[in-house]
Amino acid sequence: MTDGIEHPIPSQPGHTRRVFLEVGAVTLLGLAAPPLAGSAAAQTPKRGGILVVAADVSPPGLDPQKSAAAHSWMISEHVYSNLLRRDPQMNIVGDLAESWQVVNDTTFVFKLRKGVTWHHGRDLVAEDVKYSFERMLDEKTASPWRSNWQIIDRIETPDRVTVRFVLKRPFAPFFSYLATPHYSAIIPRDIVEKDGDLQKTASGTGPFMLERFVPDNTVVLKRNPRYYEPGLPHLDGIEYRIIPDEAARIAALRAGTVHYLWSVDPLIDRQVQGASGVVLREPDGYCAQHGMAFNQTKPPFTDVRVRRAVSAGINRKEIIASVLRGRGGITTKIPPCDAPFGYSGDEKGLPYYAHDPAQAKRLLGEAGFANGVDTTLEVSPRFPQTIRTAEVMKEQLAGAGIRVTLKQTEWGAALKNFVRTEYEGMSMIPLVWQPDPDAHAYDIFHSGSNINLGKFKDPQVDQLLEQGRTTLDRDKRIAIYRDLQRHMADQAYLIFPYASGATEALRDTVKGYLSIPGTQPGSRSRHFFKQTWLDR
Amino acid sequence: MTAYVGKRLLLLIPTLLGVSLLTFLLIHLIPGDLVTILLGITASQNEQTRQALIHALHLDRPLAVQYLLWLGEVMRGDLGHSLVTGFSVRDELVRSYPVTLQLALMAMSIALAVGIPLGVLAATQAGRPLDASTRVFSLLFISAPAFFIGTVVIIAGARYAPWLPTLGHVPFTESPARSLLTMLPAAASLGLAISAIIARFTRSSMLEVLEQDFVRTARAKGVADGAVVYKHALRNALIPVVAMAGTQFVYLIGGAVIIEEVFALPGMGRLVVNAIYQRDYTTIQGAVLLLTSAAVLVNLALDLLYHVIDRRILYA
Repeated sequence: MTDGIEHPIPSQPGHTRRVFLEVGAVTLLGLAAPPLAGSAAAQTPKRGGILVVAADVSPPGLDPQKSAAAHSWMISEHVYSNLLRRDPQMNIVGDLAESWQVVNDTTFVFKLRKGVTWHHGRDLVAEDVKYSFERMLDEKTASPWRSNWQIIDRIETPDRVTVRFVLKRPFAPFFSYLATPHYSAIIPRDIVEKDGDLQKTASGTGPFMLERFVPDNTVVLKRNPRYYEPGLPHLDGIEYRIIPDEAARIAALRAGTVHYLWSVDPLIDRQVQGASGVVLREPDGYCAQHGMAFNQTKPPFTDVRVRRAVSAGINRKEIIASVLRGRGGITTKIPPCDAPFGYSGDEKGLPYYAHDPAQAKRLLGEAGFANGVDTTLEVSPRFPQTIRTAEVMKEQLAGAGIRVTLKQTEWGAALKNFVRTEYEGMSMIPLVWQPDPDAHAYDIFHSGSNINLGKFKDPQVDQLLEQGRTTLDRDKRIAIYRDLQRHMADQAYLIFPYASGATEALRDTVKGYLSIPGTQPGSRSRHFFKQTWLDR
Repeated sequence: MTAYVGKRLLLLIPTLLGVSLLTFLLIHLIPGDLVTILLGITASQNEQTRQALIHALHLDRPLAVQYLLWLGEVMRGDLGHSLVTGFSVRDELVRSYPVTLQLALMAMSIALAVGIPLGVLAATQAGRPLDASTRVFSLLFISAPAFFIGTVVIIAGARYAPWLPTLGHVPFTESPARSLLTMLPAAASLGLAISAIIARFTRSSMLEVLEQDFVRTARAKGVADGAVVYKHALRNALIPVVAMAGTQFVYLIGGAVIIEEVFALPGMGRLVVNAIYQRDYTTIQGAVLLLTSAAVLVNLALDLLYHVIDRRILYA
């Protein structure tokens, strides 16, 4: 970023037809044909209709600044807008900000789009933006995103449409965070003050307005007739039905009573294949990871050779082929969908990533474990995919002389043990996608952080993390994070068996559905329901 | 009688206190903590954020103080707010309990309406083919768990009768007819399983009664067959059946978790189980108070029902 450059937003967000539904249909038939470019454009969107979504979990409240649950964001991101957002190519573009100016490394000025109104009728003003961030910074809000914004020194609003952020230090992830829906939703002060919070009520500036929220049952959104993008959304509304049982969700999709499933197990494809009117949609990218940490406060994992033996002892390609049925990629903590920061799904250049049981045994021998090692792997049955992954890894590691006992723990306890390194040998959980390499890596690796998974101290890791956070030049940042990933792989501080993506199932009447990789845990994608329409 | 009911109701107070204290201790003994679950792995690493939340939720106070704080709120008629969502616990109970009660009542009606006639039929036809076929019915529904039957109902419904609502919930107050129809598959899955047990109970109880002297006397003085079975025998055979059905009903009003999950019913079972997963202490406590009261009241009602069935049973 250089001084004083204006970034106007493109007038037409560029949609790639590659990601339209037709691709799903082609893949379903197993044809290796190129995407049918143009076929999506040939159809003019029809206006109207309610899109019915089968959701697996009820949102624990809708306040984007209070809920750390993805099931909340997946609704609130259609209700609220942000200053910035990501386009389908993951580029950061303006949302409520019409343009912005980088005054210097720590000062940014945003000009708001004119004529934007809240769902309850009032005009959006710069003061709303300031309030939104100050509410998150207020300790009383107890916002999970508070630490993200503590870099802000002050926010000024010289006039009704201008917001000036002044940061304490240069902070590279700032724009990514501003474009991440749940981190930085712009909220109205008057509604928060009237209702106490936004857990059950909502008023935003986004394409849909909240009509009804009955916990454990349904969330109904309707079209915002004053949404700032002309002609959007096409739908009259969205109805989320909370259906916890997967078999019931699939039955509802097959019967046509719902249009779209939120979460689809990678192995479920065979259950919907061949169902008439149902389309399977392949992942847009691999963003969701599993992470396995070692307890490095005691032997044997204090020894880098034992950790390396584990890394070389697992066969990542085989896990992807069996557990994900091929829908996944090789990964570090920064997943392939975040290329060029992440490795784009191959193991080249990553030490100890290639499967090599002989090398693993040699490393164990050098570490004094010629007869092999006995250890435990803690996992939670909450996520069946974790268990399946762990079972395959257990078999593979046995071939390298590492005898693993699987220990199944209830999710709440497993999460706590993982975060605090309070497990015996190893522990594995699904990790969430983060909007920036810094967010991916800093808190869970840095030795000064509370979390510091596995409790390791490495000055080189700390230094790279600090550099990545404060280096604003993109190419230099890429080099820093590539160094970090290579170094982490070499030291085998954590093991990342794979990155996976969401396989989604929808009715063939759903058109114009578009998502971008990432932003949701459990390998889900961000949905763009505003340009989705129903071909009725 | 009034004194008996009064005494039973007064006993509710120590029962509730004991149960609430026990749940409070148990839920705090489960490993895992609310703050980590609430903040998720993304945010729980920040110590300041953690401490702010811990303080806001009073989790930094000693356990005894937390319990007394909660008890004080209950005394003032306030069940507090969910630690996870901030929703009023009372509102959550008011929202979810009618669903569970409706399901319990519908399931029990189906169970009794199917189970008792079937049991009587089996007893009067003992040893004949009809008896054998009711045995097959009973065995099938006793052995197949309700969630399996439920899943089959949903999948079959989606395939052969897609117009039939099988999932979700329409509040009774919104549209009674649609509410009953939507809940019917769930209530039937649950009710048929219980009807199988009731049929077996009714059969054996009836067989015993049909052997007794007064039945022989009734027959001897020329009472019609139907009247002997339904008027004389059934009434006497009903006591153990009611006792058993009552126990089943107490289970049902505690929330049929699995059926609620399968049929996407926003009932009490799901509320409580989710609250336990998330360590949402206030919601669990509120729900336990309500469920304990309901169980005590249903048991009392059952005891009074015995008197209605058999006037010889009196209360002191």
